[in-house]
Amino acid sequence: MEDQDDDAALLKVAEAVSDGNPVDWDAAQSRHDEAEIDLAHLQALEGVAAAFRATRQDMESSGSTSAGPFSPSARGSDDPHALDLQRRSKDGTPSGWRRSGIIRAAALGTLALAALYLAARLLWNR
Amino acid sequence: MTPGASGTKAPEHVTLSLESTAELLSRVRVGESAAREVLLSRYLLPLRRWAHGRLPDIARDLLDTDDLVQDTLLRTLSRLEDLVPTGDGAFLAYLRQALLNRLKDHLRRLRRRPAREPLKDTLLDDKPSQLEIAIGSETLAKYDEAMLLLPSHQQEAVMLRVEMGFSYEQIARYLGCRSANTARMTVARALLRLATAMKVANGRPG
Repeated sequence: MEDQDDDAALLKVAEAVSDGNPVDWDAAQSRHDEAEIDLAHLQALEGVAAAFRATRQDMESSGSTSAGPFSPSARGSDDPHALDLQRRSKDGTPSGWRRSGIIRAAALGTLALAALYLAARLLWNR
Repeated sequence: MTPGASGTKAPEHVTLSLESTAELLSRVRVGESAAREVLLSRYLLPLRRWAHGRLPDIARDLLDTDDLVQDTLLRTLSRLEDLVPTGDGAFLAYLRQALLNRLKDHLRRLRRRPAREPLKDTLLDDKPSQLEIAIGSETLAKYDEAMLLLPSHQQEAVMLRVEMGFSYEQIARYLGCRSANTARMTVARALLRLATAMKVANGRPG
C-alpha cells in the first residue's frame, strides 16, 4: 500500500515535470528518501523539458518554421490540405521541385547563351 | 479549450486525421497517399522545430534543416517496410534516431568542409546548440542515451510531449490511447522510467 502511495506521488511529480509546473524538490526528496528512482534525475528531466519548451518558443517567436496552423498546439494541424499550402507554391508546385526547376532553367539559359555566342563567333569568322 | 474538443462535426479530412499513428502507418503500408499526407502534416513542422533546436545557430544558417527533416520523413514513409518494424511507437522512435544521425552527419561534414568559409568552420567546432547551452552537453548526451533504453512507445510519448510539445489530447489521438488522461499517465510513467534510465546511463563510461 505504501509502495502504491509512493508510486502515485512520484507520478504526480513526473506529471508536474511534463506540464512544466513547479516542483518542491526538497519536499519531494524528503518524502521519497528511499525511492528507487533518483529524484535528481527527474529534476534533470525538468531542466531538459524546460529547455525544449524554451527552444520551441524561441522558434515560434523568431518565425523560423512559422507556427501557423501546423503548430502542435493548433487545431487541425493534421489537415492534409493545410499541409499542401505549406509545401506547395502558389502554382501548386512542391517547393523542392520549384527549386530544382529554377536550377534547370538557369542551366538551360546558360546553354542557350553559350550556343548564341558560338553561332555569333562562327558567323563573324565567315 | 483543449484542441479537438469541439462538438461540431469534423470535415472528412479531419476525421481521417483522428486516426492513431499506427493506423495511419498501416494505411501508408498499403499505399494510401491520404494517410501519408496526414502523417506528414502531423509531424513535419514539429520535427523541423525539434531539429532547429538541436543545431548550433551557425549551422542552422549553413544547412537547410527543413529539407533534411522533410527528406528523412519522406524517405522513412516511402520505405516503411524496410526501415520501421511494426509496433507501437516504433515509427517516431526510428525517426528520432534517424534525424539525430543525419544532423550529426551534416555537422561533421560542415566541420570537414575545405576552407571556403574557414571562420565559420572553426566556429562550428565549439558552438553548442540551443539545447546544449540550456541543459549542458553532458546532460543532453545522457538524456539521449537514456531515451534509447526506453521501449519505443515510451520514447514516443516523451518525444511527443517533452520534445515536441503536443497536448495530451493529441498524444492520446496519435498513440491510440483511450483518453487524454491515459496519455498523461503514459507520459508520466515514461518520464519515471527515463529518470531511472538516466541513472543507468550515468553509470556508464562517457
